[in-house]
Amino acid sequence: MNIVSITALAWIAVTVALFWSAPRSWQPYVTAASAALLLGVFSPVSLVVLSFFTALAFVPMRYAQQWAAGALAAGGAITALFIWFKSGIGLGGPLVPMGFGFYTLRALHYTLDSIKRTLPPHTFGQFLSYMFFLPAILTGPINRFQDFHRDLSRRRFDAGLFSKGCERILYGYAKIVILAAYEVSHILAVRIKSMEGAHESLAAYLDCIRYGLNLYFQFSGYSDIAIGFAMLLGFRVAENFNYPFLARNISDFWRRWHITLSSWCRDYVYMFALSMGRRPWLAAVASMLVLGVWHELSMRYLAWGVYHGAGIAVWQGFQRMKAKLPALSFAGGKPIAEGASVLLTMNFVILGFAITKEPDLESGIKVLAKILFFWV
Amino acid sequence: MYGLLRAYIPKIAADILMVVWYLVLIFLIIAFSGSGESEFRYLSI
Repeated sequence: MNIVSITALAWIAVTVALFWSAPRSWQPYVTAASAALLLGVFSPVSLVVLSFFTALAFVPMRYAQQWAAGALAAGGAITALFIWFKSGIGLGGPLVPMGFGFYTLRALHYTLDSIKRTLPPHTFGQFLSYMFFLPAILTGPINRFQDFHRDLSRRRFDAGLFSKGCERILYGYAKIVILAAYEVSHILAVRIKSMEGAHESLAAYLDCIRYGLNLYFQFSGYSDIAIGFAMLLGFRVAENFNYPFLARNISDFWRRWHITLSSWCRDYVYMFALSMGRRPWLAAVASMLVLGVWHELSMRYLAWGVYHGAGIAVWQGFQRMKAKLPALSFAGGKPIAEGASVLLTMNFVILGFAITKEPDLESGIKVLAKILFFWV
Repeated sequence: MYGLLRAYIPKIAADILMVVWYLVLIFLIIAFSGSGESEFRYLSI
């Protein structure tokens, strides 16, 4: 379904109207029913998979005698199914139903937190309404059960929050339509196209910037719509972006870009890998590999994960060196050094887009070589 | 944005400016919808 459509807006409006006109105890089920209907109409496979994941994540915790082992098995089964669908082995190609990557991570978070016993006491209905929470189902943010559960008990109609939600949705649509689709994908793309031939390297570099800007405006726009929609229902969903292109280093970038995904990777991959090996650089590479593979099971996303993982590892190494050699911190805090670090980080990220914007790794490397060896 | 406006101009003027701003955005969204690339790859991840 195209979110930039009258159908999507009408769907949001009807869900919100039904939500607030239903009795309080029924309200979470209204959004769940709306999500189930949406998936049933536009992606029935997704509805089946989401229902299966919901049962798989909940049943061991509630009914298994060895609940930790059961939850671990459920987490393993969810991961295995995710990899199988993404790889497409025996399916005739990758099978990626609507919202698949996002609700898989939510189910895994629930399963792993149930092992750690950090989940509040709850019913199946509350978990069901979390998994089928319509605002975050298609493109995230990957909200946590604990936050959802808190809002579920505290929520009430708040005119201020409702008004903020409407404004957020409007800004979301503005980012997607005006900035991403028109300014970046249309105007900027035409300008860059006209440069090809005369300035090949510059055009390739600018096209990476175009790709990054388009992705940022689209994704943050979709996140704004999701966050705004959640506000209309009285829920506060975690932010997903915080001016990522102003990051001062690559580690800072991942605290500002797709925040809910990177915090998921930090909590469930980085911390686990760190506890196993005690090597922060290895944990960073492992996290970024998982993050890459989550996007797509392909060589280009594996390479992109290694690229960012190596970037974080180098940054961590530099930080350790700075602790040993204070002379390296000579420029710290000076505006020119701050500006240079923002520019360096931005360019590191932009060059990374060269790998993922092309359909395969080989073409991505060619684009990267064209930019880096511009004098050849 | 509203808070920033309220810091410098009276409430009524800030309210009017915000309504105008929202109308401009709605107009631009309607005018530009359908242009450029609309496919969002994160819908199929």
